[in-house]
Amino acid sequence: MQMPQAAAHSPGLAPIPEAHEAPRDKQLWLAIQCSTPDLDSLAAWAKTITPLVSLDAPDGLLLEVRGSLKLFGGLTAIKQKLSTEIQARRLPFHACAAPTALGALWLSRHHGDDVFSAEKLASRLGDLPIQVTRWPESQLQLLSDMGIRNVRDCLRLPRDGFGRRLGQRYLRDLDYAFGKRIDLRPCFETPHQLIRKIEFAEETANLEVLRNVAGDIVEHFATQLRSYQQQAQSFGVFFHHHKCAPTYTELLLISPAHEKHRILEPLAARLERVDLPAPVTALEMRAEQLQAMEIQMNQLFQGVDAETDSFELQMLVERLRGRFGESGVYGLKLMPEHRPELVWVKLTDRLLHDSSETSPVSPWADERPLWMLPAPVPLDDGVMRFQYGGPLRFESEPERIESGWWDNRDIRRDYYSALTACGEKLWVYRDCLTRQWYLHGIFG
Amino acid sequence: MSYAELHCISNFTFLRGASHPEELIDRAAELNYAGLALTDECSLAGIVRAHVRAKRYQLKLLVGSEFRCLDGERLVVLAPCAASYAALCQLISAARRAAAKGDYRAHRQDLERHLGGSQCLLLWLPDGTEDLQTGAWLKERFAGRLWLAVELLADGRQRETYAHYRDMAKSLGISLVASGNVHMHCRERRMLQDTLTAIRHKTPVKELGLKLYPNAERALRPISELRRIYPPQLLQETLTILERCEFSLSELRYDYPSELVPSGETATSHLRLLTEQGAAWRWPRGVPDKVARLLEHELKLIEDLQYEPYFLTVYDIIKFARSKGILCQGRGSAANSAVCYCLGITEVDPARMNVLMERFISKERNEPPDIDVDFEHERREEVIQYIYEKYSRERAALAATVITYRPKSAVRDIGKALGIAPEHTDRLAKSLQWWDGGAVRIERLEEAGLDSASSELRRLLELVECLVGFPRHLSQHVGGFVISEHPLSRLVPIENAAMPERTVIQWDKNDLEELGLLKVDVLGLGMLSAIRRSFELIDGFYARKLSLADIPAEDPVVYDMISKADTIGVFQIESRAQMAMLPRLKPRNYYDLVIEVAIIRPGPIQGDMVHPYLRRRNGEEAVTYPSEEVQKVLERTLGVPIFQEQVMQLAIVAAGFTAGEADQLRRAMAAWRRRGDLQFFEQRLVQGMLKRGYTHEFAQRIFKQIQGFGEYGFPESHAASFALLVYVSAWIKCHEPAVFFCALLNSQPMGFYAPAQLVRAAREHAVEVKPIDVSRSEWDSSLEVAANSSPAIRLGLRLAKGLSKAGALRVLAARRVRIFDDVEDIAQRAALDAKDLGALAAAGALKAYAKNRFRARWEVAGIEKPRPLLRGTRIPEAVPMLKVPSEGQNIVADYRHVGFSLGRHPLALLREHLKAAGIRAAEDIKAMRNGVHVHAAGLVITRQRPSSASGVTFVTLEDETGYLNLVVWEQLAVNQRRELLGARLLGVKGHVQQESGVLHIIAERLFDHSDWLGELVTQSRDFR
Repeated sequence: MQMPQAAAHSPGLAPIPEAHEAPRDKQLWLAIQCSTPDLDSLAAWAKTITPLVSLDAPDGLLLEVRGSLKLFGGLTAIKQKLSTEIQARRLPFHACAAPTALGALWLSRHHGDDVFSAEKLASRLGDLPIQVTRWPESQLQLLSDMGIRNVRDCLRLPRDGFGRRLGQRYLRDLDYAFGKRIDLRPCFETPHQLIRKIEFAEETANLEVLRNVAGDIVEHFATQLRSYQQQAQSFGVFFHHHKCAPTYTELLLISPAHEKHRILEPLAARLERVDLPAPVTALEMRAEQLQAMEIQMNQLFQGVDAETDSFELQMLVERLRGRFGESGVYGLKLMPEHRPELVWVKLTDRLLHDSSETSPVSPWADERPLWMLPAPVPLDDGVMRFQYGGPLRFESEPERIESGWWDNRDIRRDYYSALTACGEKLWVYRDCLTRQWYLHGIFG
Repeated sequence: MSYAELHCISNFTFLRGASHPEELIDRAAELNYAGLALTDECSLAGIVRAHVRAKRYQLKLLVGSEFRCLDGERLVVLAPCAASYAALCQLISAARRAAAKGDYRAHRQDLERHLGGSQCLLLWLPDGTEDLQTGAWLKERFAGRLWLAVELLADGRQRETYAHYRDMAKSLGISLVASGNVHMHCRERRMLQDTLTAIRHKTPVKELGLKLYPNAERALRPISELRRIYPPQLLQETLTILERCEFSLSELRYDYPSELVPSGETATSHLRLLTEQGAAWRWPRGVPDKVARLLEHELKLIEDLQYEPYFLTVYDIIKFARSKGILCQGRGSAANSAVCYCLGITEVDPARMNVLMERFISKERNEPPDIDVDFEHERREEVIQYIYEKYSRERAALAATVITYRPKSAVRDIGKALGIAPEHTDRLAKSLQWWDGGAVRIERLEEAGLDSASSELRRLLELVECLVGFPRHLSQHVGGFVISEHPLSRLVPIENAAMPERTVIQWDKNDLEELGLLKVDVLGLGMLSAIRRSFELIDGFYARKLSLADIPAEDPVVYDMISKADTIGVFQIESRAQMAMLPRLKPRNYYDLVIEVAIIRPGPIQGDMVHPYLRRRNGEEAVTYPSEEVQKVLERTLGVPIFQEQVMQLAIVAAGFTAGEADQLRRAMAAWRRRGDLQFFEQRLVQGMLKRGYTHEFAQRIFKQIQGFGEYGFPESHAASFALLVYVSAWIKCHEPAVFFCALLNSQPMGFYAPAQLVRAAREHAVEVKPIDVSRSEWDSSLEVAANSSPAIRLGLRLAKGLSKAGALRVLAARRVRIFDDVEDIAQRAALDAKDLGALAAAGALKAYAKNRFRARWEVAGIEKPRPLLRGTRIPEAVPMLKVPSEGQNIVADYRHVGFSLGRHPLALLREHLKAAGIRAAEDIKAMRNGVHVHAAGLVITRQRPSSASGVTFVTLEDETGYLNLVVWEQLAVNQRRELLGARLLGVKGHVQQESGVLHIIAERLFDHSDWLGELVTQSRDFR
């Protein structure tokens, strides 16, 4: 039997194994129509209801719920649970159940009601306009040109004739929808994100407990990442509380990792710094920015030391960042920019990797002071007299900088280097609009 | 000390220069510069505009260009004399021709080759990294005319740079000169200049970093400021160079091609000979005395002005077209002369008009004669190829059209430059309508669902307003040819156009006109194609050969039809404004048509000339003239100026303008909306008239009329030629409606109406129209003999949407061999693919072989490509249970696949529903009195928002009983923009306005009833 869609072969999607397949007359598919860019996350959540979840991009989700009816207390209860989850995401949706996956999907696209029997399904599908099939525009136009308006009109046509004109694929679709052919659908696997939440039997504020649980989760992630041949760079940690919103902290590694110790060590340091407003009822972690694992080749002859050093340095930075936070440890980068205050930027991300990347900087950058003030200081006579012992002596001609209208930080300034009475060399400017003088930097 | 700027680019250095040439000149004059060189990068495209503007201030304009050679040198080349100007043009042409459109490639060697023997002056622009070798290379070749340009732009290293250059210049033995590398006329253009840089680099401004200039020093700077920056000798040197440059564009001389004169003849004698031969052909029984005198007079005038080669050139082109059976007609200032009539350039018989050639060619004005020639739009390319072949690409080239930024393109490009989400700019651009004009208003932001308070979006609008009108690139003019005796590249640079093997000169048609260069407009006109087809159809059906000259003149029945506004399809007078005018003006002769063509133009409408003319014509107002001179000018239009020529004549006789000044006035009229400089003439005009004893009121009225005319005044010389085609097309429609509409259908797209309205009009003229039928139709619509032996129209296969011409021609070829058995036979013998078969079935063209179109669609969809082994075998198939299409479904399918239906009008099916909603049919409304309130609805077939109508939108609705004309005032259009623009079935509540048999509904409220139409696809034609 042919696979219905090529997508079945995509990474992360595996066909639903035969063993999982319920006899088809016993299947009950719940189709959900929901427009969200985050359908994957909804699908990942749906796996909490049934392992048989299938995506129908861009806006459809299919759940085989027959096996879950008992566990959750019936279809209504499942729909209720679903509704709560989707409404929490503030998304409009429509869900309806039918004995076939495609039938449920078509009905849901037309906002139909649940159908449980094959007879009822046939009659209800027949009434649907052909547009619910979402067949290509050319096929729909062809049908429309033949006066065909609804699914029932299609069934009135000779089967072989229909297949020959429209294509066998569309005939198969009809068969799938009406349950005349088994519809094998690819099963959704979480490819982009890992989520794990552990609820505590009783709430706790004990750091040791949290660290252990976090360790368990990280271990679980490490296993999963390995099995997916993936690694992650960013980890979100939610500390759920009884009555208030969860406390959140994010751990950003300087490079992606899948090894337990690479994640756990900075995480442990981070946990010590987290300020918890209340005891924790559950700990949830998400591994994000999953990417394919890079295989590190062991080098035979050279660079072993450099390699080790670099690794040591990474670990050091990560430890420091764990302790001081991401913004506490940063790199510096020169930017191609005319406005002096924007020439240096802090790098918090990938700060060790940028040393090789050079960007063009102002040709005069080397003539600018090494020490730039965090913000320009107005210079008036008082300041000059008391701080610098009298008026300045200009050493250079004006360098005019007029730039930055696009981000509301437009400047129009004439910069000069100037000597104070005590021989200190300053970088000052006069604002072209206000004519006010400012000190912006001091030469070493 | 004064200063001349020698290095200055305008916005004709696309996406770099941030000011118009005119702005640069204005500013240079304001700053008291002694002169300015416009030095666009490898281009002279902006130089004529600068030249015209500089004349106003008597500012010395230097002609030059900036180059960046592939070897790295940057230079400015200035042309001090006519010969060096030619060398510069050739250098630019060579560099431009060596690269793809919009680009150029110049090597050191090109400089040497083109400039080596010339007197061109060179400013070397080192960027600080050059070694002395480059300088030495230049010095060796351009000694005595090479300078090192010092551009100090407040980078903090001015002294250092200057010292470095001084040393370089000293060791090379050349002089230093100051220049400003000017990119904009004032510092305030910095924002736009940065934005242009972003567009050029296809990178948002905020990511451009050091690719942006650090400051706004590249503006024209006050001389006092320059004095602080440059040593005096460097400023002085600019004046030395200025002195050395004596060339002005006014000196350009141009020679007409001379090869059209056979040896042994002079141009004068040859033109006389051809004219005499033509006269004998036009008047086989002898030339009337009056005409003979006229011819003599005209030939003398042409001889005095030495315009013979021009007439001979046009004659030669027309002769070629005639020899190929391409219908053509000339129009324009010289075209309606007796000479042109004899040469066959026009069919306007001088005996039918009181032609005075001076009205069109003036000895005093000394401007080149203007003849535009219209050719059948589908065969114009043949004529263009002929011209290239005859004169070579060296000597013939198309004028350029400067493509400028429009609001939509500006919004998109600036949006990208500002890093605004493309979906936002896209929404905004889409919300801009064809009528919104230049600026983008803040309301458009809100309408597009964008935050009008956002500073980013406001910045966008501010920049858009500035950028609109900036040149983007040079395209080819529709047909303006410049032909010269000598290679054109010595006169004006030539560059590659987008079309392969096409070249354009760097000047547009206004530039050519300003410099008095000859231009022949080779234009395409759809109506000429339709008329030629009509003649062919008449010949085919009646075996009767006709030409433009054979159409009987002044047929009263034709004028009866025209006066009833029964003019759908007729050339020029089919628009609804024209149709509203016809019953009031009631044309009775050819000259009335000339007036009709010219009066319904934005100019006369805005100048308030229509109503006074009508009142006088109907005897409701006395025809008076303030003086005898004015009477002479305005007599033929009852004292109301209607034609452009009359306005100029008035300025001459009443205000004492010279002919040259009147001509300037005409140009100012054409441009005042853009540049707003008509005020200059107002004073002169009014005072001139007062001085000659006219009242202030009369003077003001004339000025107001001139202002209203603006760029939309229509010349009598063009109206006269158009009126002839109006008459010919009306004659064919009146006497041979089947022929007429059949020819129009085959010439689509053209004109004001879609095939749906043309077919409807044909049926209203009792012409039988038969459906597309694969067993009978040709590719074009054709004539068949109807039951009453008159011609009927058989719709052609070309009307079946989606059918390929190649497929259709195979069907016709196969049908000629043997008639078809069935659908499969058609498919196999004509080797049609699924798409062509589908198009035939959907268009209802297979009715002869399949019960109905649903069944036809089923059958053709089942046809498979024949396989050699299975040839002739058929797959047995069960009969499908398909429905029979309802009337409504057939109509919907007709509209979708043909564009109209021969069945009932869609609204006929909805009539009960419409009635229930209180909606009246067009026919009922016709009988209503002024002021009655009505509720109507119809399919929107045209929307028109003429710029003359101060914001009014005219909408034409159609139902099964007729047409309704709506007037939608601006406020309503703003409030109900969505309904007005979105509705296909538009409902309207309003009141009736009826005048001289012309009915309008003044809309008070609009409704979008499009959902009642279901899947019916209709299309409105929207005009400006």
